[in-house]
Amino acid sequence: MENLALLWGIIGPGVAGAVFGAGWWFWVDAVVCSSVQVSFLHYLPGIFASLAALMFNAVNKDEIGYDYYSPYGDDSEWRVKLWLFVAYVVSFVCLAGSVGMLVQDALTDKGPSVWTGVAGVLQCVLVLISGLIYWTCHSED
Amino acid sequence: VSLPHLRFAQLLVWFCSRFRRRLGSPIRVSGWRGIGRLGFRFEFGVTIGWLAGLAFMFSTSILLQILACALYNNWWPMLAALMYVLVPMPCLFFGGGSTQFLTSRDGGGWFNAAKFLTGASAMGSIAIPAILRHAGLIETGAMFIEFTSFFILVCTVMCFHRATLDEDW
Repeated sequence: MENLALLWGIIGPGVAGAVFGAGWWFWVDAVVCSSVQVSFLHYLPGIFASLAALMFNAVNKDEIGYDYYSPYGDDSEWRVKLWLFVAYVVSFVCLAGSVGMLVQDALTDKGPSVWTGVAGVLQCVLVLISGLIYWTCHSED
Repeated sequence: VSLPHLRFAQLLVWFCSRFRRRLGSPIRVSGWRGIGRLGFRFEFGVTIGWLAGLAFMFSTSILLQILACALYNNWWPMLAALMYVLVPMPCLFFGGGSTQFLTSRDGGGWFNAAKFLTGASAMGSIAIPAILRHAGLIETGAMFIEFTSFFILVCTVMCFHRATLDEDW
């Protein structure tokens, strides 16, 4: 079991990069194969999902542990958790926005096709999953 | 037409910088293998075998890349060569110029960033032929030839990585 964790620490960042790339390439496929022009509004969930993945990986994981001791008092931990909460809110809004655009694409005939909405949801999900993969496998040193 | 030259020159420079260290190793024969000509020849033969195998795999990868375009008289699959320019960049910039970062757990955030960007760049080599096929610009056979070419290139890099790290130990 320890060997598996060690192997995950070695291979995990590469897997996270591959999942991130797969998410964005799904969106490239949807834009390229779309028969109508995709407006910039549809790009925003993917961009903000990438930003959210970057936000919660910018945190030093040691600062949110239960055994963390700070000589400067207890007021440094809530800032890190507030930052993580903001990253969570951005992730939630991205997923909700992409699902909303999927439903809108499915209901109307004039806009982009359903595959554009599906690819948008896939993009957000894969980008956020790559952030979580990177979170679980990288270690502070 | 300049794209194959660009890809070939980029990878050739990267391989030559590794080969130069590798070619120097037969001169430093020491220990029991230095006794008699047979030991020296044996080690030199192993080195030549490694080089021949790696060169053959690399040439096969390039051949399949060109073949995916020439068989169908359709040069859209050459776009996949763009990713071959991107893939060595995290290795050169953040990984210390060696493939050691691929199997290392130390090194901290920069090595992890290099692994992340390598994974993201490698995914493009699979995504571009798939998107071209989905858009109807290339045939299904050309897409699978591209996948085979990329797979052989990855095997070449992994074998080369193993050979160089064995030498470093």
